[in-house]
Amino acid sequence: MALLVIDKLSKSYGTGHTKVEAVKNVSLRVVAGEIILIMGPSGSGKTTLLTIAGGLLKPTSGHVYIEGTCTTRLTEKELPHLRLTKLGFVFQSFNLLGALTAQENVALPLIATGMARAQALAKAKQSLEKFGLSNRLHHLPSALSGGEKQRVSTARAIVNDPAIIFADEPTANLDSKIGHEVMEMLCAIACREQRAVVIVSHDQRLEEIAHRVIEFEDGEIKSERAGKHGKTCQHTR
Amino acid sequence: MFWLAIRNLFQERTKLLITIGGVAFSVLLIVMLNGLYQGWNTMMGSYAASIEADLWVEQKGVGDMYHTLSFLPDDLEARLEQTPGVKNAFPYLGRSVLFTLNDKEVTLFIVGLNPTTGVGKPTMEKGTWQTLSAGEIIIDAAFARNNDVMVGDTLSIAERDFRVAGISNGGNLVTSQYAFIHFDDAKTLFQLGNKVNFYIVQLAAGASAATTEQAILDRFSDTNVLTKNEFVQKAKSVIQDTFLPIIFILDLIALLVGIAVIGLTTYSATIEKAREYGVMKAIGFNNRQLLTLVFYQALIAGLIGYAVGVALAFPIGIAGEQYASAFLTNIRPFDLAWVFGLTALMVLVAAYIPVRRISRIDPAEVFKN
Repeated sequence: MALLVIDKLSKSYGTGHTKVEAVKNVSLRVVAGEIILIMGPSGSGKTTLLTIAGGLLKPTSGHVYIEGTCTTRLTEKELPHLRLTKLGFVFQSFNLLGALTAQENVALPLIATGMARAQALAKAKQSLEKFGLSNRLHHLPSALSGGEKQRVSTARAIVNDPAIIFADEPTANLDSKIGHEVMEMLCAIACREQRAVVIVSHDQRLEEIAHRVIEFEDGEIKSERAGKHGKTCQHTR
Repeated sequence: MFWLAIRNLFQERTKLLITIGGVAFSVLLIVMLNGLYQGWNTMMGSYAASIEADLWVEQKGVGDMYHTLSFLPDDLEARLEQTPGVKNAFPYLGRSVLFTLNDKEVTLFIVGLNPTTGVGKPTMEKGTWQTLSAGEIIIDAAFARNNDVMVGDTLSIAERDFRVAGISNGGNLVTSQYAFIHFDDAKTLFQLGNKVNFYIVQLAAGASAATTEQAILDRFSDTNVLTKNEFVQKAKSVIQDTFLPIIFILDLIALLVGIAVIGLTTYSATIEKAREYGVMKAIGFNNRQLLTLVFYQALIAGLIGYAVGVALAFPIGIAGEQYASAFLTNIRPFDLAWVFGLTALMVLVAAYIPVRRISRIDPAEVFKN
């Protein structure tokens, strides 16, 4: 079953001469355990596609289905709950809350669901331990390295057990070694936990973990090819 | 959400201190102003409330005892005592007197005291009123302190010398103080002739105040009769009429200062953290949760500011009275309760603008780097 279905999705801004079509009639299906890499130049509309698929922006036309639910028909009040329970986000600039420790940052989505703080912190601790950050639980983001921040951000993205992870330039601010660690992490999330991972990036190294690579340009899918996942993945062997 | 609000607040300690300081200042100002009002109000009526009177008889049409003079014939005493319901009637002399002391003009509200009956007696701090003789005066402790006067000193009032025979307390009227001289001296000093200022009436056992009041009015048409409570309220009226509107305006200004401080600091903190709020929205926090977070932040800062403001009010009140005798404060639990309510209002109003800002934050913005 496809976890994510994007059906004839378009997004335009402005009208008349000032009209800009950021996304044009895009369709896409992503199944469980699959990693999709969307690549393209800056301004090609790939981040707009990601934000619409992530329920953060309304399309001009077309639909997005997440586990069979048409999210484009959900109201502004219903969308936060969908994001909280079905989706996880990994950001380029980590977007950790500066006042909170690593553990508290990871606990945040659980707190949003109404879980008791102690229980949320315990679950966040387990999640961070899986990412090798058991010795960084009580550190503020300012005391963490770039790689550690991205691992905390990823732990936060999956702590609520979402079906789909959306990652926006997850390796952009990281050196090659740490970038590779993050790639491994995303690969493991897809293969071991059978989540769908949609990555938007300029970083061609990410092709190594992708099942499919989609070239995006001027708001459209220009081409699609197989990634190198089968050759490099250590998790499915 | 509460712990998250605390974390957010304490991350920006300077901003938190400014917020707390602003609220504390606002609360302190409101508490002190109302404390002063209550202090003066209580003080204006406390002496009158201490007198063992059931009814006060005054000249018809006079205002409060401190600013208008009541004149009644001195032969009314016997006639009042013949009125049904009246057990005793005592003449009472009292008026404000301006005189020069140490080259400055001072005012005393001088009471003519009859040491035999003790009606209208002061509460003594030093000496006794029972032995008050002609040519002697008992002054209030605040007057003694303000003017550096001690027992044994002499005051020249209206070309007569009075030796200070004792110090009383509880008679500070803010702009003047009570003093007590012998009844006969007062009659001469006030040049009353065959007049007195008031009569204090004590009721016979079982007599009704209302019936007796009516009986007096029926017999003596040129008089006005007040119950003890009415007389005390009339004594307080000068403070209530003069200061209450001023205090209301100052309270309003203090409230606006508090709202502005919490509002501005909460708003600027919200702007600075707009991206973090966007991240929380993207993760799945709904607007209601984020609004609760901002409200908690304003509430916590407001409550700490309230506690600091109230905690400062008491020592400042005590120190203020030491510095200036007119700085009489009476901070009542009731006033603290309504100032608490006002602080909550401050928080609600101040949180409104940041809350509107947060509800407009677009979570998709967090993908822009």
